[in-house]
Amino acid sequence: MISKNSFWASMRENNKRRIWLWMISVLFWFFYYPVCMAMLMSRKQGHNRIDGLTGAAAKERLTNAAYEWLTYNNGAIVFAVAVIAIICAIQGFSYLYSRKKVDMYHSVPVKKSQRFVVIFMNGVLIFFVPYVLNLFLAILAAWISGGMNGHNFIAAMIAMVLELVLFLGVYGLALIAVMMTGKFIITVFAVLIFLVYELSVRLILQEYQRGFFSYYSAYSTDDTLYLSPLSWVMGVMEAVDTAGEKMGRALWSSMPSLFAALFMTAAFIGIAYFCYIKRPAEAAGKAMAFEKTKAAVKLFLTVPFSLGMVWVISNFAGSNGGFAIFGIVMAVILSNCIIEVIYEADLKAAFRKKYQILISGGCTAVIFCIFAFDLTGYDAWTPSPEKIESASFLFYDANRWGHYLDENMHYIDPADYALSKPGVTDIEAICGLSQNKANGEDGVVWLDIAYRMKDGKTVWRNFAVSAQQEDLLNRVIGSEEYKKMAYQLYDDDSFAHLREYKVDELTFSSGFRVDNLPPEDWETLREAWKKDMQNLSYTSMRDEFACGRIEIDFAVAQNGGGWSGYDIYPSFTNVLAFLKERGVNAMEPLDTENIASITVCNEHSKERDAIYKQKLAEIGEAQASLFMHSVDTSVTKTYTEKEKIDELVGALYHRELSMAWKLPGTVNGDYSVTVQYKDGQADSAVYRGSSSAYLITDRIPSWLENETAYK
Amino acid sequence: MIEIKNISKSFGDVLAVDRVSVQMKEDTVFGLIGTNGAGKSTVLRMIAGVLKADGGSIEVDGIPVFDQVEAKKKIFFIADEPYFFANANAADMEKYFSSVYENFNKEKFYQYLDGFGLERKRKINTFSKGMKKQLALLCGICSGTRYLLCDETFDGLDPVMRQGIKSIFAKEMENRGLTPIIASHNLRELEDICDHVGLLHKGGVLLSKDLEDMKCNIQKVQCVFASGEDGKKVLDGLDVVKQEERGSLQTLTVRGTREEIAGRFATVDTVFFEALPLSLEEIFISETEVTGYDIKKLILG
Repeated sequence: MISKNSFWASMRENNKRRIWLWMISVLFWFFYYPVCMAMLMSRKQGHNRIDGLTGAAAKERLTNAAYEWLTYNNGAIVFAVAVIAIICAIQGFSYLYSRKKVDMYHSVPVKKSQRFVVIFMNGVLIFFVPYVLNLFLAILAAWISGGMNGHNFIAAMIAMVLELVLFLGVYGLALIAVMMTGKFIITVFAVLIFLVYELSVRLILQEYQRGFFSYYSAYSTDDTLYLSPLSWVMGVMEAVDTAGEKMGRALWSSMPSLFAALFMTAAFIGIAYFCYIKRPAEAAGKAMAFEKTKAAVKLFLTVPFSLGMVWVISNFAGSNGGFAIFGIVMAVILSNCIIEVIYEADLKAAFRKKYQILISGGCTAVIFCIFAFDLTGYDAWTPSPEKIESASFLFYDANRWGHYLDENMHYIDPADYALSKPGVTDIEAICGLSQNKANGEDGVVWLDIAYRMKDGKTVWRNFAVSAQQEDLLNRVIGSEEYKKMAYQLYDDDSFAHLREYKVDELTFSSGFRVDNLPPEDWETLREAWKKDMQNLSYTSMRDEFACGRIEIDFAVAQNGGGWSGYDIYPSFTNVLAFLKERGVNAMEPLDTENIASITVCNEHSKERDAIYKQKLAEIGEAQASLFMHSVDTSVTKTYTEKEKIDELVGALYHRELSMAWKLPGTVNGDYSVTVQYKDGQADSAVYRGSSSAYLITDRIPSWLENETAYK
Repeated sequence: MIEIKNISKSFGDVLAVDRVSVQMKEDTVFGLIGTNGAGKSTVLRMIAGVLKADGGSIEVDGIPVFDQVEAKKKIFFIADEPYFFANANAADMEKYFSSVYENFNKEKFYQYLDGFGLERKRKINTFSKGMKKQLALLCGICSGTRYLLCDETFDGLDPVMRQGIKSIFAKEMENRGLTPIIASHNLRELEDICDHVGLLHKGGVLLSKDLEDMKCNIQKVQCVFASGEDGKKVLDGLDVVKQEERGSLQTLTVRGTREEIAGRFATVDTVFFEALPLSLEEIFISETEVTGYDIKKLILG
């Protein structure tokens, strides 16, 4: 027999106070899962009938739809679970906001710990019991409609576990907010602040770094939101959701994130419990439950807010120091006063704690000065050669089409990929590049460099070096290490993973035409490409014009990655031979017989600039800008003669092809070219209509310059 | 016994209770009297284990009360505004209290409920203020706890109901040793129910005495002395709390037993002498006036 004052009796009594929440949860999950699933299956069955799909294809459509609804579902479920978690937390402990209720609950002979566990557990059950029951009803609905298979069932079970972890994480976070506050509205604000605080602070600091540090690299900031259970669990959900058949492996590789989420959840719940036990009863109805936390919370809110406001004001006012000081003063005073008024629920309390305004202002000013005057020496820092182990490079111009894929074929950050590979070990070249930073905009090569130090640290910097540093650039870009970190297909380990997946499409695109290649030949093509890549250097990429791009599309699950592209240069003899064997003449993509006309427009930007400068001196900026609307310096000519077309085709460089590594002026930006194809051509690889291209400067015919000269 | 030793409690900058020490013995009705803001509710909330004292200790039958279930099992606290669950009726409250108080007497609860004419299935939010207080009292009486803490609970009860509750108190005290502790500023209400009073003022205890002792140890004397010398002689030897003079008629509030005071006055020649017991309200006013708190001025503006 259950004793009267037992845990279960308390559970039952507590549930009586939460019946409406049970009803909301049951209704929500009932409509979200079985009802929506039944409607979804019905709609997909209708689509199958309309499309005449039967058998495996029809079933695949149904299973795909059911899979999406039972799992991550584009984040909709994450939002729903988070909202329910917040409601459960606030409703469960809302008695803490009322003195009357606190007097009653805290005077009865129930241990605080038991009351916490009872309310906490009921909150979990209010979410989880209706969720699980309706999930199984949805599975049943999908199964009856033919939308279920073993894969979907496992995915649904994994999603169920992940959503429980997500719920617990957000629930724990919301509980801390409830315990630390004494009013409903303040709790809601606190939950929102908890959810966005880390992200907001990080964004503000990133903006300061970006704005004040010349050599700041965006890669130096870790994007992981360590204090957000949402971030951790969503990462796992996305990885599993897009892994398709490799779901188990994706889950396994996401275990660190899952454990991090569990750890954070346990920490949040532990903190919430501690706060509950320590929470004074007199906190009911007050903004903040713990007097001692007021000053710290205010400081942690006002400083980032003030820094953010200063940044906004500075963006409006430009680099005016006076406005920055005004911004700091106003933002600090305003934010401190608002928070004090909220704390005390009294307008007259705004300036009550002036010393806190001073501390907040001081902290804001110090942080602002650290960035504004680079007090940490961020820009001045140069690595000591003996402390560098190696370096990873991300050149802006490198491998523009290269998407990096992880073992589960998800797109991954180029920096993460580069750091996962051994770095370039030519220390002299690394330091040489670091010591030859360039400031000019033209004739420079932009790069992000990760110095991998011997003590295990990684230090990122971003800067440009002059294109004149050909030797240093060749030593880095021509190295095996760099090619492995920049070109995923080049690296044998990565290639071994990629081989596990089937290639759906293999194409060669010159911009003017796209040729399909047999997908099964991709490994042969890769072999040829790797041989050619061994000779690749900065100089070769700078001086050669790409003749096209190899594109590989791997067959992976929905929402996943799989596409990657690699530039092909005329010096890639092995690739060109491979293509030729398959009937693709990469060096001559255009058959002049198929061209109806070529229209060339010379913008004459120099002449236009000269006119603007003259007018600027005569009538001022506003009038000069207005005047320039009526000025047209462009000269357009259309050529239909075969001889001229033949000559122009030799100078064309398709707009879709890579402009990477090119020195300024090697492709003439003043000329824009439109190639008009003849109607009714048979070659299916050629685009219909027209193509846009530039002209390679040293191949522009002299007659074209004359005929399009500005008069 | 509830033993309060030197407890203090502050709310922010406000010192609500300042080093209060009181003993509340079993089988008596303890009245906690005090002006508005004297700290009565705070003391009761601390005894109930709701608030934690900043300093000092509170023990219920030798057990520290804060966050101690064993101590709380002995206490039922009726706040000045008792809380009932939303949309609950008396039966719902009985079920809840039955689940938390092991000795809750359901039969007696429904018996009293019927006796007081409170419907068991009627929603409590439709009850009048007085009915809610009756219900709270019945819950407390039937909870089976030894100590019943009532914060201004008798305010709003009509005289008939008050008498009814008093009768129940008397019965429960006799049957199972119930010890009601009643906080109120309404002195007349406590006068005929309390055995022992604690007088709180500005967070501190002015006095804590048996009511009978208290009444016996302070007297109101009206007298006319035959001569000024007689008056001086008597007054020099008495502990006079308050003195008023209208013509030759002196009205004195004097500490001491009736016999002691009468004996003192017998030594001089008086035209008129009468010693009257003070009402609790008069004692309260006198004691608070001594510490510079003139309640009459406050009341009369």
